[in-house]
Amino acid sequence: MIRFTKVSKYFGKEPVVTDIDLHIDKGELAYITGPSGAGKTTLLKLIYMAERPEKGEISVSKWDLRKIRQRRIPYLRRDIGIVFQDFKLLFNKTVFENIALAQKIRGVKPDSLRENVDRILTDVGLAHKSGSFPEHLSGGEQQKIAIARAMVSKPLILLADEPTGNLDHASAKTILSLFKEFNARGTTILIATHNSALFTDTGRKVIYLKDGKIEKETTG
Amino acid sequence: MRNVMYSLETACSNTWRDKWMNLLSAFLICSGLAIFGSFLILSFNMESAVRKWFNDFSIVIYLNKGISSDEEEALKNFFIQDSDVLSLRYISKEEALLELKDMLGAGSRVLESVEENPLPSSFEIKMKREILIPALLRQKTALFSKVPGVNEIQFGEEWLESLIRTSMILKSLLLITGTALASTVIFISYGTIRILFYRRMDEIETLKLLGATRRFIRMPFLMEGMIIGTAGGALCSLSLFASYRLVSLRLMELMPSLKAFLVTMPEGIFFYGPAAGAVLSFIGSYFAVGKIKY
Ligand SMILES: Nc1ncnc2c1ncn2[C@@H]1O[C@H](COP(=O)(O)OP(=O)(O)OP(=O)(O)O)[C@@H](O)[C@H]1O
Ligand SMILES: [Mg+2]
Repeated sequence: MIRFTKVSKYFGKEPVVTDIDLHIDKGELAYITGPSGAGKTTLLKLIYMAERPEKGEISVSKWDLRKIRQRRIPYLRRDIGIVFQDFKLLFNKTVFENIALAQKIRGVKPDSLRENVDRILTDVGLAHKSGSFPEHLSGGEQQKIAIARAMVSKPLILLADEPTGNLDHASAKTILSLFKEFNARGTTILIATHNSALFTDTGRKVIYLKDGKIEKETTG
Repeated sequence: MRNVMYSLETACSNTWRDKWMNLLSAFLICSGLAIFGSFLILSFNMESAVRKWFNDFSIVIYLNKGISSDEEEALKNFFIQDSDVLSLRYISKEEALLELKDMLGAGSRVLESVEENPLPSSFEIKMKREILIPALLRQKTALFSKVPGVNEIQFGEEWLESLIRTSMILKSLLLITGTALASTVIFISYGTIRILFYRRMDEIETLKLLGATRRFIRMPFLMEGMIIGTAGGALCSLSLFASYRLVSLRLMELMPSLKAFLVTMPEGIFFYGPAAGAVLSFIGSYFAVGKIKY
C-alpha cells in the first residue's frame, strides 16, 4: 500500500530523511516511533506529498508519486485521511462544519454527509459538541475532532501524527480501539508517535526512526 | 452540481464573514458603474438629439425663374425617384415669400415696395442617412445641379460636418470612459478578492491537504466576486434609475423643449447593471485567485 525505495529528503543541505526503505502492506496497522526531530512528520508528509523527496521512489496505493500530475494530487489525498500533529482545524467553522468539509471536498451528498458526520462524532464521543467552535474545545477534544475529520470519509489509508499527544490514558485507549476497528474494516493505518505505550504488546510492526534513518523494525 | 451548491454555500458564508470589506467594494463598484452609466445616459441623450438633427437636415434646390408648372412637376418626379432621396417638399414662390415675411416680422415692410415676387420656387429635400456625409452630398448635389431647370443648390455643409464630428466625439468619449471604468471595476474586485484570498491562505492550505481540487478552492472566490459585483451593479442601477427620473423630470419642467430629445431610462438597466457588475467582477476575481499550486 505504501512503499519507499531509497528515499532521501533534504532541507537545504541538511538531510532529514535518508535512504529510507519502507513497506506497509494493505490492511496493516503500523507504528513509526523515534525521538523528537527524527523525521516522523517529514516521512508522513512525503506520503501525502506535502514534501517531495530529492531521491528515491514512493508509491502510495495506485499512485506513483514521481509520475503523478499536479492536478491529480487532490485525488491521491482523498485516498488518505490525515490526522495532523497540529490538527489544522478551521477556527471559523463549527465542529460539524470542520468534519463536513472533508466530505464536501469528496462531493458527498448532503444527507449522507450529515449521517456520516453525526456517526463519527458519536464514535469519538463528541456528538454534543457538534455546534461548538474549535477554540472552545480542550486540546484533547480538538485532537478527537481532527481524528474524526480524517476518518469520516473512510479513506484507504489513515496517517496519524501523534494522535494521542493531548489525550489522557482513557481517551487514548478509546481512539486506539477506534483505529483498530477501522483497521479491521480494511483501512491501512500508519501512526507516528513517541508514546511507546501505544504499541507495546500489540504484535504490530514498529519502525524506529533516528536522525532520519530507520534504526530497526520490530514487532511491538 | 452538488459541488456548485457547496461552493455557493461557502461563497455566501464567506461573503458574510467579510461583509464590511465586501460592502465597501460593492459601493466602489457601484460608483464606478454609476459614473459610466451617467456617461452612457448623457451620450444616449446627445445621440438622440444628434439623430433628430440629422433627421431634420435637408438640402434646398432653387429652380430657374420662369419655369413652367409642367416642368416643375417633371423635376419633382425626377428627384423623388432618386434612390438617395427620402422625401421632398415643394415650396412655391408665394409660399417662399410668406415664409420670408414671417421671418422678417416687422421689417417685412421693405418688401411692400417690391412689385414682383423676386423669389424662386424650390424643393426642400431630405436625403437618406447614409449619404449625409459632406463629400458624398457634394457629389450628389453636383449631379443635381446639372439637371436643366435647377438654378442653385444649398445645404449647411458646416452644420453637417459639426454634427458628424459631435457624434464621433461622443462615440470615442464613450469608448474611453467605458474602457477606463470597466478596468477600474475589474481592478476593484481584483484587489478585494486578492486580499481575501491571502487572508484565508491558512484555510486554503488546509483544504489542499484535505484533497480539495483547484476548482473547489477557486469557485467560492469567483462566486464571492460575482456576488459583490452583482450587488454593486444592482445598487448602481437603482440609484441611476431614481436619480435620472428626478433629474429628467426637473429638466423638462425647466426647459420643455428638451422633451424632444430626452430618452426615457430603459428598464433593461435593471438587467445590464448587475450583469456588467457580475461579469467585470468575475474577471477581476479570476485573476486575483491566480494559479493554485500543489
Ligand atoms: N520545512 C522545514 N525546513 C527545514 N527543516 C525542517 C522542515 N521541516 C522539518 N525540518 C527539520 O527536519 C527534522 C525532522 O522534523 P520532523 O518534524 O519530521 O520530526 P518529528 O520526528 O516529527 O519530530 P516530533 O516528534 O517533534 O514531531 C527536524 O530537525 C526539523 O527541524
Ligand atoms: Mg512530528
